[in-house]
Amino acid sequence: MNKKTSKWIFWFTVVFLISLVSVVFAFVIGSVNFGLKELGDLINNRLDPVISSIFFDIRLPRVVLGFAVGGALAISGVFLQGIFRNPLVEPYSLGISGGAALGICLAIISGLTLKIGMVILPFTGFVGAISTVIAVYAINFRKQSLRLNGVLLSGVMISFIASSLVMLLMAIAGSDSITGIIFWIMGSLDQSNIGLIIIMCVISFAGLIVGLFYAQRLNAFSLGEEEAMHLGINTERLKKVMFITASILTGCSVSVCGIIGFVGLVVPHFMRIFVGHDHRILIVTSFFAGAAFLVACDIISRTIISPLELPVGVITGILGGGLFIYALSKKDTILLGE
Amino acid sequence: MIHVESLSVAYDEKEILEDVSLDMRACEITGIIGPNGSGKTTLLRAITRIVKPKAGKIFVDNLDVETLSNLCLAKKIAVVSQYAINAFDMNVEDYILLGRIPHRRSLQFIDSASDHNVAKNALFLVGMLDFGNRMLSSLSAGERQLVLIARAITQQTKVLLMDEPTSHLDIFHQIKILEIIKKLNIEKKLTFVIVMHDLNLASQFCKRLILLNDKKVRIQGTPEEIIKKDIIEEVYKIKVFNEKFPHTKKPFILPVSD
Repeated sequence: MNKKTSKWIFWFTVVFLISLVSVVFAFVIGSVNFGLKELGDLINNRLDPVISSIFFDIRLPRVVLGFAVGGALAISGVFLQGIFRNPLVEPYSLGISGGAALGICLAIISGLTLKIGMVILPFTGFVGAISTVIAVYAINFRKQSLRLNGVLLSGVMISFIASSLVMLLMAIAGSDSITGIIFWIMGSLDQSNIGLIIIMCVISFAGLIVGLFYAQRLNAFSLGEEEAMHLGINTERLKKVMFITASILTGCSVSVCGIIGFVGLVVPHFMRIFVGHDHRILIVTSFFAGAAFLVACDIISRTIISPLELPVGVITGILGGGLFIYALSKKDTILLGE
Repeated sequence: MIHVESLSVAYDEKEILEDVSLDMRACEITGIIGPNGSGKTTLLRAITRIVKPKAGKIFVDNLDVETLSNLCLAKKIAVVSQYAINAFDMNVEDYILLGRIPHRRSLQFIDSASDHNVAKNALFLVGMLDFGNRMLSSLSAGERQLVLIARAITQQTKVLLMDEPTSHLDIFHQIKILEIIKKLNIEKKLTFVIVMHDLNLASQFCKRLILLNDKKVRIQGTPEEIIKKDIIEEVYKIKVFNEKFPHTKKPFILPVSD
C-alpha cells in the first residue's frame, strides 16, 4: 500500500469517527440527558416509554435528517467547486436558495399552508428551487454547451431578484406569515414528516454514489475544460451530471430544512486543507464531515437557549463563518490555490 | 500518422483555416511555424476535436477522428497545451497520474502499481524524478513545462501535440526540452507535432516543417526547403539574414531592421 492510500484511509477513518461521535452526542444531549443507565435499559428493552419516545420519535429523525442534509450540502459544494474550478462557489451561488425561499414565501402568504397544511412547504420550496435551476440552465445553454461563467453570474442575479421579491412579499404580509417565513429562511432540522426524511436520505446517498463515480473525471476537469477533453472526458456530460446532481441535492435540502448556510462552502474548504484536492477522497470525507458539522451545530442550536431553540442556520453561519475566517488567516495559499 | 484533408475552420463567421491539406508523418518531429494568427493553435485544436471543422476531414492512424470516441482519441494523442494552469494546487506525482485517466478501467478507483510505475518512468524521462513530492506552485516555469510533458508521456500515446513548449523559457530549458523530445522521438519512436515560434530551433530539431500563413499552408517540407530568405521575408514581411549552422548545415535566420 502506498503513502497516498494510507493517508486516504487515515483521513477517512478520522472523519468517519468524528461523525459517529457527533451522532452519539446528538442522541445523548438535549432537554433530557441520557446516561449509561438509559443505554442499558434501551439494550434490555426496558426503557421508559416517555424517554423511548424522545429517543426514537424526536432525536432519531432529527439526527438522521441532519446527517443526510449536512452530507448533501457538503458534496454539492464539492461538485460545484469542481466544475467551476473555483473554491469559492457554493450550492447557493446558483440561486437555488433564493428560488426555494420565494416558493415558500408564496405558499405561506397565499394561504396554501392554511388550506393544505404545512406539508405543502417542501413541495413549493422544491418547485421554486428547481425552477431557478432550469432558468439558469436554459439561459446559459448555447450551441450544445453549458457556459459556466454565465451560470455563475445569472445564478447570483436570480438570487438577488428572488430575495428582493421575498422582501417585497414580507413587506406586504401579515406578522404571522413573517414569523413563519423568517423561521424557515434561517433553517431548521425540526421536520416531523418521516417520509420526507427517508427521501432526503436516499437522495443524499445517491448523490454520494454519483459523486464517487465521477470523482476521477472531476480531477481531470480541474485541469481545465480542454485539458479534460484531451484526457478523454466527455466534459459536456460531466458538467450536466454534476450541475443536475448538485441542484437536486441542494434543492431537496433547502425544501426540507430551509436555508442552512455555509455547510456547502466551509466543509469542502476544510477538507481541502487536510486531504488535498483529489475528488476521490475529498467527496467522501466532505460528506461525512458535513454530516458531522450539521449534527453538531444542531446540538448547539437546541441546547444553547433551551427550552427554546435557535434556527440551526444561525449556528452554522456563525460557527462556519468564524472557522472560515480563521482558516483563511492561517492557510490562504492552500485555500485559494494560487 | 496524421493526415489533414481540405480542412476549414471558422470561429463564428471568422475563417481561421481555409482548405488546409497536410501530412504529419509517423515517428517524426514535425514543426508548425507561421506568424501569430496564422491558425497554428487552431490546427491542433481541430485535430483534438476541441473545435469542430466547417469542412474537411482529419485522419489519425487512418481513422477519421470524427468517428472516434473521446477516450479512444485520448489513447492516441496526448497534448501539451500552452496555458495549462491548474485551478487547485497539487503535488507533481498526483498531477502526472492524471495522465493515466484514459487507461483506467471503468470501476478502477485507485491508482494501480503499474500507474505509479508509468508515472515514475515519465518523471525519469524528463529528468524530474526528485520532484515527485513537490507542489506545482513551487516549480519554476521550466520545471513546470517538464512536468507537463511528463504528464503527456504518462498518457502513453504514440502522438504528442505541443503548443509552443519552449516559449517563455530560458535558452537552457529551451534546448533541454527539445533534446528530451528528440530523445523520445528516437528511443521510443514517438511522433511529435510542435507549434513553434523560434525558427532556428525549429530548423535544428524538426525533421519536417509546415509553414502556415494567412489561413493556408504556405509550404511544407524539410527545414532546408523552408527556412529560406525569400520565403521567410515574404511570410513575415521583414528583412532577414540567412546562413547555415556550421556543424549541422541546417539553415538559420536572423531578423534585421532596415
